[in-house]
Formats: sequence, structure tokens, C-alpha cells
Amino acid sequence: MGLWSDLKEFFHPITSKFEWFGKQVQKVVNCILLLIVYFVGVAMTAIPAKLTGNKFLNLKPENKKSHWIEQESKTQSKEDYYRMF
Amino acid sequence: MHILGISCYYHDSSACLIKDGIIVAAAEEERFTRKKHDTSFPINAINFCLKEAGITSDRIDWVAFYEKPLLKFERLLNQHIEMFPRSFPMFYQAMPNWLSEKLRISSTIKKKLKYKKPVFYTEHHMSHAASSFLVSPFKEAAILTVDGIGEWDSTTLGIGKENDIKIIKRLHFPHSLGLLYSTLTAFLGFSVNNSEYKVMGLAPYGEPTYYDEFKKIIDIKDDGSYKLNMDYFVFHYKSTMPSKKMMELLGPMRKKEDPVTKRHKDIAASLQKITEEAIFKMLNHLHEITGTDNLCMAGGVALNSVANGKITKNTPFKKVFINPAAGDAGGSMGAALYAYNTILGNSRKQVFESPYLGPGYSNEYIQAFLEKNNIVHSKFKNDEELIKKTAQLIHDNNVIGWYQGRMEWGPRALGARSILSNACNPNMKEILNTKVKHREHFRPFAPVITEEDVHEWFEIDKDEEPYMLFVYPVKEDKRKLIPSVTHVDGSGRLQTINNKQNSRYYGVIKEFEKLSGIPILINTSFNIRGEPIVCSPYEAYKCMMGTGIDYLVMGDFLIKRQDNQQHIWDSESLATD
Repeated sequence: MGLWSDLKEFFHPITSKFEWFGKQVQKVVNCILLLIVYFVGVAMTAIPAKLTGNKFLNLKPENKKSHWIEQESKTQSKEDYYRMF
Repeated sequence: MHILGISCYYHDSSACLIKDGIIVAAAEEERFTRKKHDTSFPINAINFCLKEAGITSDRIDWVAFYEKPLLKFERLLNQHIEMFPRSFPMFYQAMPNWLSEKLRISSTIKKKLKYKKPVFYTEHHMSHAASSFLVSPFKEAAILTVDGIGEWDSTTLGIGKENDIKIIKRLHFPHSLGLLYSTLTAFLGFSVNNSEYKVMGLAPYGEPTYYDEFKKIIDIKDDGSYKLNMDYFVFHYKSTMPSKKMMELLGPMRKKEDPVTKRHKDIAASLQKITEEAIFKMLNHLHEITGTDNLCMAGGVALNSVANGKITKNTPFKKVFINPAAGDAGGSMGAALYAYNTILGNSRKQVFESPYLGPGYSNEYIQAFLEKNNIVHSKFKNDEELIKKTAQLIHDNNVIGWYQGRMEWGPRALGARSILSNACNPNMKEILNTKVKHREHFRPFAPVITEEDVHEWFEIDKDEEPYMLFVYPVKEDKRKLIPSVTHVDGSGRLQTINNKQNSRYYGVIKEFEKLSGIPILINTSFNIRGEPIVCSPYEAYKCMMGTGIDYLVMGDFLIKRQDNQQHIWDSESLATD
């Protein structure tokens, strides 16, 4: 145990630098992958939607008497609650 | 039948266990991990709940989760698509968590709890509604839920009858009263999802001179429905909240270290005014469409105790119930109750009567802890001695750490993990701030009063307020007598207590009344600044030794700080908030 902890301490400056380097690589890889997902997945939906005027969020002011969204009355079965959506 | 409710991954993770419709245990994860507003999977809170019930995880019949993760994910994707390409930084920040944790909640539950049956997923606002209505004293009630955001909903109007809840109307993201309040909290230099109550405390110092500006930010209809003008916000695609346009309208944002000026106070006052206007209009409309005089409220905005205290004056509702954990932590309780009562169709078994649902430690445990750590202490002979001695110490202007029984459910200290002190001493606010709390000067301390005396001291429209969720005016002729708990506008966020709810706590106040003629103490949360309320005896002792608390009354034991100088440390060196 003593030898092992001595060795760990001896190599600590190197292992901590490797750890730091690993985290930087992880960040870069994450960023590249998420960029791909974003520009393939999100952009492919967003650009045609913008061109066709489709809206995914209700952001614009509206001149309405009420902003309430009426809820349709529906009965849910036990199995409906098993769903995550 | 055991049902475990879980809420996690946004803020204030928690767990709640019910047995045959009766709440056995409930606690927030932050109390165990010591990370304020901890969002992680509440494994420690779950383990506590199981231990309290005397069961292992294989005895859980159902697990209920407080929201529908895929619906929330859908809303998030809609945000990114709508705000493309400006939403990339937020996408980059949020997506790893969603993919590694939030969408895998089902497998996490199964893996960590070895639970094999399906999980019930209830909608976020339904969990809020259930957390209030299903343990309320009402057979029928109107229900208002308002918070930052759930899946898509930010506000719902509903009605509860017996064991069923129907949502009637809703408002969708990004139009959210909670997010408006949080945005202005950020604007005023305070932390979001943490310091909204500071803005509420600041409001009475200002005048609502920015009210007209706020009318540009939020459009409130006569029926209480509202819509935010999104030109003033960026929270739908950025991690920051107010836009440049808001700064053009209200002036520059306050930085955390900047002094609080009249402008900041006026903005807080205007925000509080517009929030109350929206709430009261919604409630008037809710009363119109439901026709019942009983009201249940939930969601983070239901913790706005200033607005809550004005409900019966400004709306036709006569009785109001709010779960002490009205925010997201309460979602676990709501999900479990909704599963038992509504999904599985069982009748309601319980009215919420005690907030003491968290961990408690026996006198044997406390004694062993004190002896093991060589802590100088004495033991009270009986309750009478404990009550008399504690009341005398408070009367002598000592600050007391009060650690008794099971921990409270919800964000407020209600006499189990409290700091108690003399409300009659005009300097006590200063003393508490210097010794322990180190709060901003504008924040008030709260009073606790014996239930039978409340009408003599407060202009209150009911006989009890046990959960510190309502602010009421202190009677004008009494304000000078309790200066430390009377806010600048003459109000107090009171807690009432009776002998049945907590006999020792009640006894100390009664005994203090004999000494001072006043049945009121200061009650503030037992914690180090920036940390959650203490949970275990170790944390209580550590808190006393790191702050200026003079005595700790823990179970049957009395510990004096000055007798244990070897353990003194400075908690301010670690304070983060």
C-alpha cells in the first residue's frame, strides 16, 4: 500500500496533466459531435421551417382577448402514465 | 402499498414515500449532499425514505416521477429550432446532460433501485397540483399552479374533486411569470432559482415607479392570462435572462457586488406589484370558472408569501392551502399522491398536518456523537427544564441553535432545524447578521407566534399559518414591541405554532412570554450562509461552531459554544452565497 501510494504521488504531476489533457480532448470531441448534430439535425429542420414561416415557439405579440389555452377534457388510462411523453 | 415519488434533474431534487396513501417520509436531496438546490438523482433522500419506512427497495410497489422528460425534451428542441443558430451555445451546454441523465431516468431508477415495474410519469404541473390539493383539507378546490417552467406549461388553472384533478386552462413556455421573476432576480444581481425571495424582501423598500415599464414587458389580460414581450428576454436561447432591450428600459443590470440603490428597490417593488396583479387576476378568473371558495396553490411562484397574504383580500377565495414544499421539491410528493389517488383510484387518506417528515436522530445517537467527539455538554432532566432554560437564554439575548425531532419538509425552518432569538431586542437583527446569517441588510427575519395569540399581534384572516407561507401586517400598536421581526412595511412572514404541532417549540415561546410578555420569537433557518439547512447532529454542531450561535439545544442536550473552543472555526471563510 505504501509503495503504491508513493508511486501515485510520484506520478501525480504527470497523471494530473494527462487528466487535464483528456478533459480538453473530451471538450473538443463533444463540441465537434454536437456541432454536427446541431447543424445536421436542428439546422435541417430550422432552415426549411424559417423559409416556410413555420413557428416552433409562440414569440410574437398577439392581439387576443385571452392568452389562455383551453385544455381538452380527456380520460387517461393507467398505461398512459407509463409514457415519458 | 408503497409508492416512491421522485423529482430531480432541474432543481431541488427530492424523494417522498407514501404507504397506503399516508406520507411516511419526504426530504430534499440537498440536505444529505450539502449542495444547495442539488439537482442530482436523490439516492440519499430515497435511502432515507426507505429506512424510515423500514423497507428495502424491493418492497416498493410503484415509482412515480414528477414530470414527462420527453415532453420537456420536445420543448427544448423546439427552442433550439426556433432560435437557430443563436441557440447553439445553450444546445452545447444542455445536450450532454440530457443524453447522459435526463432521458435515461427510467434506466437510472431501475438500476439504482433494482425496480422492475413500469414508472409512472405525471406532468410537471399535475405533480404540483397534486402536491397541494391531494393533501389539502378540501374535498373540492380550485387549483392554481405557477412556476418557471415544466414541460411546456408555465401556469395552469384546474379543479380538484375528491381524488381527481382536472387542468382546465394553461399557458405555455416562454410566457412564464416565474421566469419573469427569475429574469428580474438576475437583473438585480441575485442568483436565479435561489434568491427570488431576496427580491421579494427588497420590494417594500421601493416604490413601484417602473410599473408602466413593466406593462411593456408583460401583457396581462383581465382574465389573468398573460404574455411576455420576448424582446426583453433571451432565456429561450441563452443561459442569461434579460436582453439588452430590458437594460435600455430599466437601466443597467446590477452586478452582485454593486450597492443596492433606490432604482433597484423601485424595480423590485414594480415587479412585485405586477406579479401580484397577474396572480389576483388569474385567481379571480379561476374563481369565476370553478365557483368554489377553496383554493390550492403550488409551483415556485406560490412561495411568494407577500402575494399569498393578500389573496383573500383581493379575490373571492376564502380558504387557501399551499404545501410547504410548493416548489419543485414538492413534485415528488405530488407524483406519489397522484399515482396513489388518481392513477390507481384510491380515496384520499391524509390531510397535510405536519411538516416534520425528514430525518430525526434519537437522544442515544446524539449522546454517542457528543461523547465520541469530546464535546462538552449537559443533559436536561426533563422537558420543563429544557423549555425554561432555553427561554431564559433567549431572553438574555443569546442566539440558540434549535435542533429537535425530524427535519422539516420544504425550504422553511419550522421549529425542527431553526435558529431562535429574542424578537423584542431592536438590535437582534444586527446581532444575528453579525454572528450567524451575514445577510443583506434589507432582508427581514421571520416571527414565530403561539397560535392562540396570533389575532392579537397580526392582521390575519385565519386562525393559523403553520408553514410560513403568508405575510401579514403586524398590528400597528405592536410593531414597536417586536422590531426585529417587523419588516420596513410593517409586515411579518409569520409561523403560528400550537402545542400539538410541536410541544417543545411551543413551550419555549410560552415560557418566553412569561419572561417578556411577548409570545413571539425570531425563527430563522439553521444553516451556514450558502449551505442547505442542517440535517444531522454533526452539521448542527459544525454550524454552531463555525458561526456565532451561542448555544445548541439538540434533543435533550445543551451545548455551549464557549465550552468547546477547540472546535471553533470561521464559516464565513467558506461561505459562497
